[in-house]
Order: sequence, then C-alpha cells, then structure tokens
Amino acid sequence: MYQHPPRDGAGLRWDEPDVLIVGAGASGAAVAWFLARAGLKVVCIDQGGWVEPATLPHHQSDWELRRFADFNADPNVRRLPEDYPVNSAASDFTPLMYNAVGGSTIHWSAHFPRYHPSDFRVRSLDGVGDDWPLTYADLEPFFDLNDQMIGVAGLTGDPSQPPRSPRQTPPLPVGRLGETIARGFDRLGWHWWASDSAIIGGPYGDGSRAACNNCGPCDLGCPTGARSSADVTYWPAALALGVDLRTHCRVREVTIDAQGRARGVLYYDAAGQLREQLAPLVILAANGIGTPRLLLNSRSPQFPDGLANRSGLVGKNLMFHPFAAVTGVFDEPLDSYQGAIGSLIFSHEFYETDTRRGFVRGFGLQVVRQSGPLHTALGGFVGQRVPWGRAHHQIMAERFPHLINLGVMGEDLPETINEVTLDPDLTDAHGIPAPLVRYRLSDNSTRMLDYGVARATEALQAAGARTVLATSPLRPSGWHLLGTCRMGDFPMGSVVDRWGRAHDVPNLFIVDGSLFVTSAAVNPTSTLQALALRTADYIVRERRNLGV
Amino acid sequence: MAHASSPPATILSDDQRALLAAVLNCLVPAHAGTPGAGDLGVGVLVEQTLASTPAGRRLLTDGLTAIALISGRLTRNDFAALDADAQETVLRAVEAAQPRTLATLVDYTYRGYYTHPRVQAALDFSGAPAQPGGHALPVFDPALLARQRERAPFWRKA
Repeated sequence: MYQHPPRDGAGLRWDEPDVLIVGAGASGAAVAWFLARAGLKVVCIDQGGWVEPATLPHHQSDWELRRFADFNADPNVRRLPEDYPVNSAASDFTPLMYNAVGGSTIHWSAHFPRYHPSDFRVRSLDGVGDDWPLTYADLEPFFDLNDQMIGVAGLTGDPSQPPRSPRQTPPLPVGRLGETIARGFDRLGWHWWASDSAIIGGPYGDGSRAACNNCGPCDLGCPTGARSSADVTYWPAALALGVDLRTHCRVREVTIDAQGRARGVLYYDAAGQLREQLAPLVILAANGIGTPRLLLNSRSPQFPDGLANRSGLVGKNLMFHPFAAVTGVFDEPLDSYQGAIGSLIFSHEFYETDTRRGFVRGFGLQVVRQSGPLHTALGGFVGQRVPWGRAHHQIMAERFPHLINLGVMGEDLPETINEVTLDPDLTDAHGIPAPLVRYRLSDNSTRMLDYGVARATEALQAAGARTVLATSPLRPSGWHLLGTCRMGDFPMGSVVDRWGRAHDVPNLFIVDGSLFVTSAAVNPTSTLQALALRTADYIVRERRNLGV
Repeated sequence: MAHASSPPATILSDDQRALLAAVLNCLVPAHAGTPGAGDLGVGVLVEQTLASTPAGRRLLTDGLTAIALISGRLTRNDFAALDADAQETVLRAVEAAQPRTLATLVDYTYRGYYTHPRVQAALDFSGAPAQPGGHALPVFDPALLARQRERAPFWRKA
C-alpha cells in the first residue's frame, strides 16, 4: 500500500512567506512545487486533509457502499467536515468536487487528454465562444513537464492530436471490454485511441508508487499510489522543498490593503480559531466554484462587488461539460469491472465542428468500465436502477458483468447567465456564505448531446450490444468546473490576464479551472496543470517585479 | 451503513421486523440457491441505517404501516401471508402511493444484498475486496491500433 511521506515537522512554518496558495489540489500542488523549487517560501492552505490510503474502501468486501457515502463525488451527499454546501437546485448539472490534499484528484478517474490546438481558437475558427490569449504551443513545454512530473500511461501516434513526447509508461490494459468496443469503432471507420491516463502502468519514479493492478474503482481513491493524484506526485516533492502546507484550514476571505493590493487571507485553523496569514503574493486554486465564491465573499469599499470583480465577471460564464451516459448491454460476459474504471480508450471522431450536424463544436466519446454489482443494481453509469421484484434477477444477470459504457462529453460554450453567486441564506460550518450555482443547458448542447447519444448507440451496436440504455443529460456529471474567472487580455472582458494575474489586483493570481476561456470537449486536468506551471514559471521569472 | 462506534439502533417490534423481512424477500427474491434479501438478514442493516436519523425512522415505520394497510385494503390479508404475485401487487400500489418510501427501501435493500459475501460469491464477483489483489489483464496490444495508424492526422490546425 502507498504511504504518504511523514509530515510531522515536515516543511518549515513560514510566518512571512513569499507566496500564499489557497487550495492544495491539482493546480495548487503544481504551483507550490514549482515555486518552492525556485527557492520561494510557500504556504498553502486547504480546508481538507490528507486521505490516508489505509482508510480507502478498497480493502473491504463492501467497498461499493462508500461510493454512496463518504466517497460520493457530490459534497452535498458526502457532508464531511471539510465540505461546504453547494446550492445547485437551479443547475442542470450537479457540481462535483473533493476537498482534500490533492483536491478533486482524490476521486479522479484520471483520463488525461490535452486540449486540442483548436480549443484555444474557438472564436476565430467557429465564431462562437472566445479565443484564449495563448496557444497550445505556448503550453506544450508545460504539458511535458507535468507529464514527466506525475507519470502518464499512453501511446504516441494518435492522429487526432498533434505529435507529443513519449509517454512515461505504456498504455493501461483495455481488456476484453476495450477490445470489444474498439472493434465497434473500427467497423464504423471511426477514430479511437488508447487513453492518456494519469496512472502509471509500469515502474516510474522513485519506487514509492506501485504500477496499476487494475483493481477498478479509481474514483474511490488509489491505495497503491498508481494514480497520479496530486497528493502522491507533487505534494511529496513540494514538502521536501519546504512548502508549509496547512490542512483543515478554511479561508474566509482575501484581505486587501489601502492600495487595493492583496494583503493575505483570513482563515479558520483546524481548531476553529480565526487567523490571518499575510503574503506579498496570493494565488487562488480553489476550483471553479470555490475561487469565485472566495472572491465574492471578499468585499471591501474598494471592491464592493467582490475582490477583482470590476469587470462583473467573477462567477460568470460557468461551464461544465454537457454529458450523456450511454450503456450497451452485451450477451457475453465481459471483464467489465476489471481495470481502471474511466481511462482506457476514447474516440475523437466528432471532436471538431461540422455544422451539418446541427450544432457547433463537438464532443468526445469516453469508454467507461462497469463497476461492481451494487453500483449496477442501483443504476450504474446511466442511473437506471435494476427493477425490484420477480424480474430483478433476470435483468441483473443481463447487466452484470455485461456492460460497456460510453460517456458523451460535449464542449460547453460560455454564457453569462450560467454563474456562481453567493446564496443569500445557506452557509458552511463557519458561517461563510455558500455558493449558489445557476446553469441551464443550452440549445446547442442539447442538440449536441442528442447527436452524441445516437453516435454512441451506433458504436455500441456495431460492437455487438443487444440493448442500449441512455440518460441524457446526466445530471450528476459536474466534475469539471470552468470559466468563472476567465482569462483575457482586456480587463472589462476578463478577470485575469494571460498569466492568470488579476487585472484589478496586481499581486493576486488564479490557477484553477475558473480561468478557462473555453471548456473544450475533454477532461481539463492536464491543461489545468500545464497552465498552472506556466503561471508559476512567469512568477519566478518576474519575481522581482512582483515583489517576491 | 450504520456507524460502527455506537450501538446499532433498533426501532422495530418483532412483528415489524417480520414484515420487513417479507417485504425484502419480495423486493429481491430468492434465486439459484441464494435466499431472498429478507431471509439473508438484510433487514438488520436496513433497520440500523434508517434508524440512525429521525427522517429515516419515520420513513421506515410509516412505510411498514402503509404496506400493512394497503395489503389489508387490497387483499384483506396480511402481507406475509400473500403469495409472491400478490405481494408484488401490494408493493406496486405502495410505490404508486409513496414512491419515495419504496425507492428508499429498494435502495438500502440493494446495498445490503449486493455487499453480502454470499451474494458476491454467487455472482462470482472477483472484485470484493478490490485490493490487494487487483486483476490480471493482458498488457495493451499496440496491434489493435493497426487501422487507426493508417489514418492521416486530422486534428484541426490553429
């Protein structure tokens, strides 16, 4: 079993750090490591703690139960002390996140694609959305650095992507399930490729992490350390470099000085005491809901609408990934619960815009494995429960283990009506106003999902499925929280500049998904971490000008 | 399910427990040598879990009362005395009248049933527990991608 590095006394206590980071997830961890490596004194604060591998469900025979309790992806279901409530009643998708050292990489399936070059030029290419103030080429060195740092399984040569550097380990096994759906794609002449997975498929690194042994439920954690979550990749290295990581500490607000520069943060420590941490540079990495929430809660006479919000765009342009779940039922038993649940193969056949389809932009098809019998009985990937009664066992025998799942993940377009604001009544355990999420699925997304479900059905039938089930849209699919503090060159059209620096607050940076300009049709973590490393690189190069 | 550090809560009378067992046997009947969920003892976990909150306690006790009343109204007989077809008819009527009650009972019945070692063995489910064994799968065969490698790059330049 993987062991977290010893933490008693690890990392110096910085009372006067150079940099303060809020959030110890995918992007916060990457930035903390990079800056500490450059010799900066770094404090990182997170409301969660370490998830010990020994506490993960996998070693118990009833592990499936934990998916519906303390390892549910929805904080409103989990209700752990480190969680805060999210009012999502007015949202077509349920926001999903995990609050811990490692952030949402703790419940991560680790499918790890990069943005396509076209995803940075959506306005120029297709006349919708916006262009990023940077290109794929600008990010490429940081994509590679991130991959090397964390370890990625995969295979080069994918014709749907630009050429890239060799992957750190071979692709993960796809098993009989993967071969079956791959035959379906091949029969149709559609693209497919082995996933880039943030999971090591062989020996990698210092030997503290074991290679994946295909146990299955990556979304419930990884006891072996094979999955490249931030707590087993960046954090051990960051702590060794002296980062002061403070866990179970919840930030209440970012404070400013008379000149409108960030002073630091007020936070509740693990004992519930309100404390202040000052720093000349503050970086927010609290995800696409947590960061705008924090800024909106940081009001002052200089920023009556929330910190860094003179554009009025903090919290606006929330993007998820419109998502549909499609399941094929096959006559033959498949090894469907064996192997990494969400990262084996994918298709980008329909990734780019083709307006003949009746919508703009596109979607990916992500193959997802089946989980155990309990998850299947309670509805599985599509959320369609096996009926009770006399028909129960027959239908259960048809479904377990006979399923192949396809996730239809579409590109979302930014709309200001989709937003994160503050709930007028709901608060967290510290009395801090909770986020209120409003999101409506667009007509473009609806047409895209309808088309995507039809294509997924076609692929599953081509692979031999006897029956196909679908749920579109799938409401509990808000894994990716994007766009709410968008990046741009013009202060009235964005919250941060091309380096993630707040237009209105020169010593405040954002590095999480809230700065995304477009959602693309892929999981964002690879691009998220590359962007974070690029921002950290900028901070190091400009440290003198930034006063650190 | 119920928290391990405190004594498990029990709120049902013996008659109510017998009714719950009969209901669970109808929700997930006996099959291929495996007892129904009630006879498998799943009712213990259902009771302990729902008894842990005031709302759960009300749902369970009120739900059992509703089942008994509807059984009497539709069949003039106790639920446990009915044959399987009649029991299912009664529970379908309960489902129509109180969908949340029935859905909750089904949910927790499945949780107890499909994590029972005897059921996992009957299903030949090799993933319980998931670790430390994992699963042995053949390594990825790059030859699977032969047709894909014939395709010219089609990513969109930007």
